Amino acid sequence: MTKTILIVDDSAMMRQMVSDVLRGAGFDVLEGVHGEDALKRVAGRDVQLVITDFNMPVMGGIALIRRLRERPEFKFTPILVLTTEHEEARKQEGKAAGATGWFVKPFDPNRLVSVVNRLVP
Amino acid sequence: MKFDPNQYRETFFAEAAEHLQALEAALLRLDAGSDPDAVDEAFRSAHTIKGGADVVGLDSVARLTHTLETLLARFRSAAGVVPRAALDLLMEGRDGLVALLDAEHAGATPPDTSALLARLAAAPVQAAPVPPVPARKYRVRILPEPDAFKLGIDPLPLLREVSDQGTVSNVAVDVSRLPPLERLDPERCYLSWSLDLEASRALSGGDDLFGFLPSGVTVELTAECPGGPPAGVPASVPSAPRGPELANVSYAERQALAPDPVRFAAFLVRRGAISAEAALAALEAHRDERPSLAAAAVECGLLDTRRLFELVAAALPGEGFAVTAVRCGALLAADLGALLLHQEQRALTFPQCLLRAGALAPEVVDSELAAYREKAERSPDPGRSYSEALPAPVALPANPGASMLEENGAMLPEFCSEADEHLEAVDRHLLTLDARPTDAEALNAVYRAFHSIKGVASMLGLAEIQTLAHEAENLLNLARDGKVLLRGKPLDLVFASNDSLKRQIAEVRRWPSVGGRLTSDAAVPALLADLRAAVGGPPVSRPPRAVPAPAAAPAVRDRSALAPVPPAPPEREAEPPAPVEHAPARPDAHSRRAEKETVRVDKDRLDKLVNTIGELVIAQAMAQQEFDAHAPGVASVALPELAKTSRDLQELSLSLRMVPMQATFQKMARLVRDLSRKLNKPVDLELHGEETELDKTVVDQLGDPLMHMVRNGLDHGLEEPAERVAAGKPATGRLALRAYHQGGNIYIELTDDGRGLDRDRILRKAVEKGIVREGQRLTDAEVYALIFEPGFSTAKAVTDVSGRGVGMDVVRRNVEALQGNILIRTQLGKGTTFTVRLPLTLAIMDGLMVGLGGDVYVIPLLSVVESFRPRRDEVRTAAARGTVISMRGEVYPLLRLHELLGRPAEVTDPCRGLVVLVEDQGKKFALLVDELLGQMQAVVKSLDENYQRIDGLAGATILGDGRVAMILDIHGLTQLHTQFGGRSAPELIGELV
Repeated sequence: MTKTILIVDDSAMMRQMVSDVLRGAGFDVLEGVHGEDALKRVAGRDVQLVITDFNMPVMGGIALIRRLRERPEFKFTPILVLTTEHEEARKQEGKAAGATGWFVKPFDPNRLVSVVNRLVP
Repeated sequence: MKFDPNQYRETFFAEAAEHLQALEAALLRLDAGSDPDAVDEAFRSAHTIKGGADVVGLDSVARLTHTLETLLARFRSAAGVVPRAALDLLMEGRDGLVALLDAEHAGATPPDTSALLARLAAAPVQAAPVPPVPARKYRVRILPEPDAFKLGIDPLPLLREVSDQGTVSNVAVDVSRLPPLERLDPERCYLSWSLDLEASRALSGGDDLFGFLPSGVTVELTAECPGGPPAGVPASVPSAPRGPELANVSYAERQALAPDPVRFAAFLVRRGAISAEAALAALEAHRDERPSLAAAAVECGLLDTRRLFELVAAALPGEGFAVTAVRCGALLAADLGALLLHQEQRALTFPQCLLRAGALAPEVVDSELAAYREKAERSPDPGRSYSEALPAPVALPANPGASMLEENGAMLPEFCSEADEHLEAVDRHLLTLDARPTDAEALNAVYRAFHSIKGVASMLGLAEIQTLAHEAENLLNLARDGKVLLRGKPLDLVFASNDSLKRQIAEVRRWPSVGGRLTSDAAVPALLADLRAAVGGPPVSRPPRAVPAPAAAPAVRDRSALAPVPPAPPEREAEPPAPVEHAPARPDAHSRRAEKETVRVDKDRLDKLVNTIGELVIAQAMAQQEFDAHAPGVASVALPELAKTSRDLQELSLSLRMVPMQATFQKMARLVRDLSRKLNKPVDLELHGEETELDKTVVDQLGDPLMHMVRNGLDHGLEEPAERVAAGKPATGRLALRAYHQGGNIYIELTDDGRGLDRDRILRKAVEKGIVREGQRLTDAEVYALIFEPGFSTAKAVTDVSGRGVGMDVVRRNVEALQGNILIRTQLGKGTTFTVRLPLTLAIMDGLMVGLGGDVYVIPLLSVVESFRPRRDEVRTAAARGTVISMRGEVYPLLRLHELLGRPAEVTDPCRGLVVLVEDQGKKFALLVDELLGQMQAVVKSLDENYQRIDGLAGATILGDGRVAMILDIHGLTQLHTQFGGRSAPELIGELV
């Protein structure tokens, strides 16, 4: 079965880059422009991995992770934060919200695919 | 700025001595056998000494270390195999360096190193056959936190990922944390694993094992190098997550951890980011923070304190701790590198010292580090030019950014339009902020826009855009925190940054067709400096951001206040403040629009679609006619359905091209703001109907004329504040821009409450300029239309805003090119309203079909005033120079269409045919045709594209029966008429009387 990955980023271009990379690697990709939009989109979908930006309008990454973790179907889903921020405080905040890991922009596509392949075996 | 290198000398000599020790240790390891890490270490030591020597101006030392470094660099690619002869030379070089440094330190005449330099430069490089690189062995422990599952961590993939790094053996699971079954929570992780890894590359820590930084897992990595720490020594250091295995970190990896302090400091000082004093203070703090080598050895568990005392006692005069320890066998030479690194790790890094001292703000540190590294990649010495004078070690691409641009070429249009959207949004929100500088929503929106641009620009390697967006973001961040009020200069700065970003984006947009180097925007350096100054208050030295209140700033000096690395105040770096995230989304137009899902489509493709659907509509009409011809009187079920569907389709396709006026209006708002400042005329601008939609082509071409109109309105229309007050008006002028739909057209109105048009003055000027003859009688509309004549300006003085008489003629030309027209209403002393009437779209045109000699022509309905058959007494011939229709007291020249087009006609007598009264640029003409055939919606086909331009014809369209009909160009026809010797109405009137 094809695995589905949710990408949440307010930059259409960043979404496109990530989803191009992941589609090329054989994944199904759902895109959300911010947290609230993402929550709408995952309804009724079986999502194996979430990759989200931190800083977004309407609903940011932290809030999104919190909201996703509240849902039983996302309790154990890996959630990667893909962001330009890399301060320890932010990482702690992400971890507290339930982020699985951190991936820093600009990203290396090959590395992203290998990480995703590991997280979504 | 004063920068006295002598203040550095003591620091430099002390550091150089340590690095010389490390260099020797590394060379000794090389002597024992091949060791790539030792080469890296030796290289780094030499490199660091060189950097310091550069800074303190010891050129001889710098030259020698540079030569050593160059020689070492040649072996970095040779898997650490250094031929005996070369090693001997390196040792000799190192000894020469010691002598040189000693002499410099003592102030004595330095020994001559030229012979040594020459020998070093000529060193043999040919290495012995390369033995296989010894694999690095590590012991890895993976300890997921109990809550790891809830963070989405699955230990199994992590274990698998380790195997990517080399060969895994002896995997063992540790079940000691497993509770009795009755207390076991299946959603918690109680297990941990350990394994042996023979890695294919050097690893610096747990993070290196995985492609990302996992949240809920502790990874312990223990090196098991042959000749490593003695057994029983705890490998992981409690206070520092990274242990002595750091000895294996390659030069590049260590470089990434923290740049060389002295070089980085020099770099910052040269860039003007910090003062020399601040740099020195931070360097001193950095040095003071560092534990001594001895302390490091104890911390790493390599020595205990008792042994340390023994060593101190055993030290020979002038001997450093490291040498004593190695001589006495307490430490291995191989440990020294690890200890040096541990020293660095334990201490605050130099950037952290800078932060603590408040010399730089956290974001600035990051950007400066990035800048430093970027420079370090290009030149071996970012701080100074010494080594740049020598041949560069690596050939660099002429334009570092270009390859990245090429790689991402396909993304550029997308990036540009996205960035444009962001920048437009910034303009919009900045205008809000202009009125309400603390509007949280607008501040957040602007911040996010810059942030997004920064992120994407970094992916594309657009450094300049990235940096500028970053600096602007910093300023916005302060504004969000209420530390800066976006008013006056700061607001102007953000506006200017936005403009510069727009220019740069435009440059990027052009790049695919132009290629080559991206031209940098000239305004950027000054902007960056201003932005940095604005963020930091007075230039260069600035209040530290980490300090909560300015009053607390002096407390930074107090060490107790500084305990650990300053934790970032959470509210500073937090997500956009709570209101945005939690407050119910305000249902304003912008956010609704943002949530709408959109697909970007190339405009050409859209045009093709519209065109094809146009063809479909025609084909449908033809099918209907054929059907009617072959089966008269038979009703078809399918055809009406097809007709309806194709009409719906056409409407839909046209609506695809519709975009709101908002962006254009916003540009005008910005223009008004700028002009109002420039001209010192306070103006209130009202915008109505921004959401009105209009064909994209029309919108794109409307920008220019609107801009000229707004300019003109502000410059000429509105009076000076004093004049206004004298006239009993409020000092602040009023401009209103509104757009609305009416009867298939769109109207755009620009109203000002200024001085209004002076009919007499315009007329005088027109006579002066020879546009109108003395005594010629003109209607009001004709007089006002004169302001659209090229070169016509009644402005008393030419300002740099307007008044040169170019502009208004552009307005009319552009509007008419869009098949629109302009109406002026004005009242002297009260104000003026310009009304631009435009068709909704250019692809389809409402037309009046007329017959002429068996052919069908289409007159744009917008130009048609009325049609009638004149009575005999209404037709008059003027001195054999032309016929006019005189009706209701007005006189219209008669244009005989068949004559103008050189086509046959069935009727040549206006009283037997039909006359269509058309309007062009405020003047009316009567057009003689055979008959009226009805109205139609014509799908416009351009003649230029398919054939060639013909005067008097605007295009062609296909009729329902498949015949082609020409669309008339009224303006072109009137010009033809003039060329044929026709006269305009005012000229004719005189002759008639």
